[in-house]
Amino acid sequence: MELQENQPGATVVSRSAAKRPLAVTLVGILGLGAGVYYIVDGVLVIVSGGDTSKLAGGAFELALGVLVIGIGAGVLRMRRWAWVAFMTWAVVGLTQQLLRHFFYDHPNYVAMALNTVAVLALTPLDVQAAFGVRPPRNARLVHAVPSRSHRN
Amino acid sequence: MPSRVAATATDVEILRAFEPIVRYTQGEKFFPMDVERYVLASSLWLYIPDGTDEELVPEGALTTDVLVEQREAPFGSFFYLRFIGALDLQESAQVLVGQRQLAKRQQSEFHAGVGRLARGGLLPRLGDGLFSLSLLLRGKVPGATAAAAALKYAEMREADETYVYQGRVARQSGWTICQYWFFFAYNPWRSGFHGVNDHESDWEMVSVYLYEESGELVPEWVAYASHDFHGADLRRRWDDRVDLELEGDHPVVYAGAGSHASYFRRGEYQAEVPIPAPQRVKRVVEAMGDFWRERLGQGGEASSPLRIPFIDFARGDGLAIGPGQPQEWTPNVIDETTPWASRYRGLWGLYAQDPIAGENAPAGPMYDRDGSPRPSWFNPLGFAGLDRVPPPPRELEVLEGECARLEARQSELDRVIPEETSMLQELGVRLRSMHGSPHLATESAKLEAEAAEQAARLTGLRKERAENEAVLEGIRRRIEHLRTGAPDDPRAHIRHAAEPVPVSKMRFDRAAELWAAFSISALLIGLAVLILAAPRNVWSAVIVLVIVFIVGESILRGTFIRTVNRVAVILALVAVFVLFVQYWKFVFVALLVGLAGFLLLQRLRELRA
Repeated sequence: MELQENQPGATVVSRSAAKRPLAVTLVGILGLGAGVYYIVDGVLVIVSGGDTSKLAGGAFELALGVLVIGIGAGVLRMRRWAWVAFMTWAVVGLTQQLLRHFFYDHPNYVAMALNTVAVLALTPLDVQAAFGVRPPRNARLVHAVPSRSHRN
Repeated sequence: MPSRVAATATDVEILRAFEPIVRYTQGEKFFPMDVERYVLASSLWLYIPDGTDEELVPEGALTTDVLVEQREAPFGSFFYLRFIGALDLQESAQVLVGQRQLAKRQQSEFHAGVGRLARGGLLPRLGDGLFSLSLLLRGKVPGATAAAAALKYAEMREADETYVYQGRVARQSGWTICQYWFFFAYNPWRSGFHGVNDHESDWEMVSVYLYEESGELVPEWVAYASHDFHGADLRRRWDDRVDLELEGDHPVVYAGAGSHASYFRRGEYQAEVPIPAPQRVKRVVEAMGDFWRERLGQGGEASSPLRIPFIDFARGDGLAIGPGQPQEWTPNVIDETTPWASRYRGLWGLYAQDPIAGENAPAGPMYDRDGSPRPSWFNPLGFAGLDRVPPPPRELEVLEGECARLEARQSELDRVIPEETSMLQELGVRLRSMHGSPHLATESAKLEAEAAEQAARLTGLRKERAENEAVLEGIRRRIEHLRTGAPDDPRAHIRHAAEPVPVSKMRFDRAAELWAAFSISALLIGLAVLILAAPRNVWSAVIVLVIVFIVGESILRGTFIRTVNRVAVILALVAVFVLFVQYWKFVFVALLVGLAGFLLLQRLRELRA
């Protein structure tokens, strides 16, 4: 099956030229904000000192912060890998918070809400198309079949 | 230009002229045979609803003449044939060994190829497993029966290698229909080719539709009976070179391995078996599917999870039977007067007492399993959606007749509408003249009702005229098109065509195949271990395990992105529900504040305007 985007009636979407939806901008900023939070928290943990496990935790948060900032920047630049990374991140985060809610204590409802908003913002077909994750809604999917012969 | 056959030719000559070439798949063990030999090698039984099976005529004593003798039985009973009798353990072992030796001797073994298991996802494979388990509860054809049938049929074939079709020529509504009925001693789709079911005996059918022109019969359509398709989707036009393969004047059929279903193109097809579920459950599942696709923007084709996919292998790399092939057909002409076809309404093989009928043998060409008339026999045109299609030479005649009728009606309307208009205007004028005269109130009300009725009649006539004009325009355009002799699209009638599974979706690598083979069992063992090892955290562990399996499966199948999105959306929906339950007051307040703000903005805009 081949994707024909340059046929009449089909929308040609160039990702660099595609307009970034407001929801995507918010999700990107959310990612940057979360990244900054992790970095600041990680730095504070390291600076305050403590045993090896505490320092390791701080370093992990620091690395996580850098990763999340990278993903947030990727989302703002409408990169396909960033969409995949954000979704994967959301799956892990939502699973963790929902398990906490149903089976354990102290779920972080703010994190749950933010992950939910991010998933719902990145899911619409048009947004996925803008990220290059799916073909545009009116792209023509055609089979490579031999041309039809007319009756004689 | 297709060959023609004289309209006065005998039925055998007509059948011979367009008989199909059937290409079977390597490993196929059963081929079309004559019913007389099958009946002679079978016994006749009666199943009575109290659960007893009674042998009426033993093997060797049964002929088609004996088969059609009138017999009485209580309601709910089934007459059925048994090609293979009950086997004890020793006999079963013997036939299973014998079948292996036979396959080696015939050098015709079937290999599904890498990727068969990986074609369905985790859920379909779970459904497949449950379907297999259901056979323990449902009635089914006993395990070694397929092997015994293969050995018995091989013996019969070695003694007399003829390949027979039961040919019928029917004439309906200007069409001449050649039906080629193929009878098989056994359908080993499940036991031999990883398919849905096994049953003793099998009937398949191919139809060629001819019309008469200048005293000759010309082929126009071909229809193959197939899984999951009905009506017009079953037929292809004689000049359809996308699907229909012809060798001379003989359509080529690719038969499914074991299932014997007919396909136009060589390939491997996905057949789907619906899971029996209450209508209410089906509606809920459909609504959820719509919500998923439309509201959540997930797109994709509408496909029901209440269907289990199976593969039908129609590779065409085995024996070919037909004109110009290594093996040719022996025709046997049948019609409503053929006794075994019309007077035996029972099953042509074992009644396995399967409530969903998949393992029960079929009835003959004229009847369904319950003894009611088979639609493809009594309505061969409707079977292929041709009951509304006149033969090509008649189409112009029919259209011209319809055109003349409509033109006459338009002339009549042109005369009637001014008369009716005049009458309505008279009523209007009289009504107007009554205004201001209170003593004429009753008369005025009557006239008002009459005028309303007249206006409605006139509106109806004008509507009819406008509609007729549109229809006439279409008919005239069609007539003009037919007169030019320009070709129609031969595939315009097809809504859903059976398509072979594309190679990209068919062949997965060895890792995916191994994963598909072990994953369901590994998942179930994992669940068992969790129940034993972590009883306090079992539910959370189960959820994590299932998500890990689903995501792992998607990585191997190359569908990670779509799967991770689906899992995320499902989790997000659960989270929305949790958050709503947890903070419903805040949500409610936020909604009220939002609504108030929205309304305020609207009013302010109005004020500024």
